Amino acid sequence: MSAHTQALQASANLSPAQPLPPLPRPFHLGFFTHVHGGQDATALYRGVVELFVAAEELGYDSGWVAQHHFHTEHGRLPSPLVLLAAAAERTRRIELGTAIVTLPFEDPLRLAEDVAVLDALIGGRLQLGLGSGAPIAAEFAAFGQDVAQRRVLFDEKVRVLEDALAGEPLGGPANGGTVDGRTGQGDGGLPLVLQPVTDGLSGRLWSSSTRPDEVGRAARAGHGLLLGVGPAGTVQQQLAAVHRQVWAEHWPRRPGPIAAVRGVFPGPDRDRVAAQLAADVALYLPHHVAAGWAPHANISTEELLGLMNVQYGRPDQIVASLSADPVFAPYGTHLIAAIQAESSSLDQALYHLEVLARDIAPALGWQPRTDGDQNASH
Amino acid sequence: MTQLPTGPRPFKLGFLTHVHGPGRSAGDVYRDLVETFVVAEELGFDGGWVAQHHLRADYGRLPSPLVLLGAVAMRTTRIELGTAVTVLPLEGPLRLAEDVAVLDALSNGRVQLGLGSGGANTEAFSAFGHHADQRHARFDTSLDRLRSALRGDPLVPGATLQGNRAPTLLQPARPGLAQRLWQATSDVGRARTVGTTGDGLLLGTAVHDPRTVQRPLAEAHRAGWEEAAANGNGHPGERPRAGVIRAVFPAADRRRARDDLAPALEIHRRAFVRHGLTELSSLSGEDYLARINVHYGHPDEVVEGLRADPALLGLATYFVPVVQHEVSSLDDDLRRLETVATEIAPALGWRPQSLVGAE
Repeated sequence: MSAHTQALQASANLSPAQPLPPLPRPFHLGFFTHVHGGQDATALYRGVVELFVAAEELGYDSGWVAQHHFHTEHGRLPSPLVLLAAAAERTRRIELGTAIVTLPFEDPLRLAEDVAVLDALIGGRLQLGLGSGAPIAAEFAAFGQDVAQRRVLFDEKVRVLEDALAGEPLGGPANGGTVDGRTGQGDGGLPLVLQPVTDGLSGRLWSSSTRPDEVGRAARAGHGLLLGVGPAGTVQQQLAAVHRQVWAEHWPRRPGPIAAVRGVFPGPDRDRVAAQLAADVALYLPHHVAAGWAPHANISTEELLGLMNVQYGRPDQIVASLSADPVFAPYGTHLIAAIQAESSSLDQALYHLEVLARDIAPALGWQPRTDGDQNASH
Repeated sequence: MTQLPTGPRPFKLGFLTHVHGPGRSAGDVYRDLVETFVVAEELGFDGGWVAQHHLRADYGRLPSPLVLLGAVAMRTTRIELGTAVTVLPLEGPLRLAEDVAVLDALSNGRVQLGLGSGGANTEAFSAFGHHADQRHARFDTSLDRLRSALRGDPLVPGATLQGNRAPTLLQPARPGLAQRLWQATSDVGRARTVGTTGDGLLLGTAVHDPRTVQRPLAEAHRAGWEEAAANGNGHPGERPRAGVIRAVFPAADRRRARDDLAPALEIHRRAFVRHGLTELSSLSGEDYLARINVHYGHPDEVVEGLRADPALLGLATYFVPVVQHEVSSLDDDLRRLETVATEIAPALGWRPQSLVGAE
């Protein structure tokens, strides 16, 4: 751990720089899906579009999709930007996000083009979440990359992406795009810049990480923080504190966006929902053991649900648990609810969306948006 | 309206746009493009094709055709969604495979993927960290990777995903896409290989003469296609897929068509000169239009010109008019599309698919 990181962590243990008012208070509500399901891909993707339509009608502020590569049943969307372009045609207002794009597999300039086109096409509704991907060797090998390099790849590529979106000249030494000392030149010898020119998209970037140094980097670059992975009370709370601290130093004029990404599964009682989710969350147990977050592989479903920060049970129980969430309550400007587990049907996901918007989020201070509301940045 | 012909359709009818729009917001340009697809579907067009250009500010404004076609997929139900072309050397072939697979699933199998090596985009290569003079080699290795991914070959020989026994494969699986690839080339040897591979050939680069350049390319493609079929490969019994792109500018008469094209041609000509094609700049207006294969004038004149085109009828399985020029308006583009679908293409034997079963 670097001295800089230690300093960040030490400062993070002090009182937060810009405390949010206690709940209930206004916040931004989004939904999220990994895009699960065994049906054919056409029906699956059309179902995701339906989630966006339903969420907009319920007043959600945003919807987010994850990018996964080569998965056959769980995490079936390798091209979130293509799908978001489709979802945008069926909606007018709701913001469309990625949580996250696996940046090491992307050419950062091609990604910049894709997000610039998408954002122009959808009227500035894009929120672009970035990450370095799960450390799965075969996925990196398929893309001709070494999984051990994934953080380095992220670091290199995020700079190219940021510069391109900011309209910096392309092909300069900073982005590695120089060939034989020549930089890209367009008509009249002017330096090439990203086209289409983006409008505010640089201010709608997010990062997801479990490492304080990376979170500090994200805050310095003006990225919001997506916090989904890792136990909230230990891993995530520390990251949120780092982000708030670094953000306050670099961007004192506006609050740093911090999103608590939480599974939200309302049902008749906690036991019944836990039983429904048992097989789904068990898939994540090996990762939690390997990361040192779970003490051993024999923990109960309830313990694992706790480590995964899943909010479940009756709506009033979920209101209570979110009010006590060690990240969302003190730090969260955004609540992004994962409403689809591996075994959830589309109808169940739609039901979770509805209960959250109707019976849970308003009790925490959220107000549904209507068509007349303007988009905010972040 | 022309009497609709009967019998088998001689070609599918598409349109191609390079996505121009100087000085306009990108959002407006893209919304117009989505609208163009919606109208074209209503007019009975079989497909719409969009060109990918990189780092262009005024002309050629779409670097991400697949994202845009994702939007089009939700506003249409039948029209095919094509690229002509995707600049393959500037793509990660596996990411491209994923994007087209998702688009193909979203659109229920409507994707037609046209690929080129980027001869019209050479100035962009260095910005992507690539050498333009290596674009053909990159094209070949990327095409191998793309094709094998689309076919469903294992992506990492021997390796497995997350301890699973299953090999790492492209998802979603869309094996039919491997049968819907198209290539653009100006090399006769390559055109033959495109044919043996069973890919379609895209013809119609403006500076390629139909008789001396395009027709030999098409014949080489056909020879390769038939050779593969004779060897039990390829697509026995199927006509060689050839997409022929032509600038088509119908108007009330020839003079008005020329007047409408004049400002665009000046822009067009300057770009040719910039790319070293200086002999084009010395041609008169009429000669210049002929040299770059523009069919213009009254619809009857356009039909006559297209019938006389040495690399079109009998050869094209997909006829792909370009009706947008550098500074044309959406309304004018849509009016020309309508003339193509209701007058010009029917005179050449085409009719909307919806009317085929009604006879």
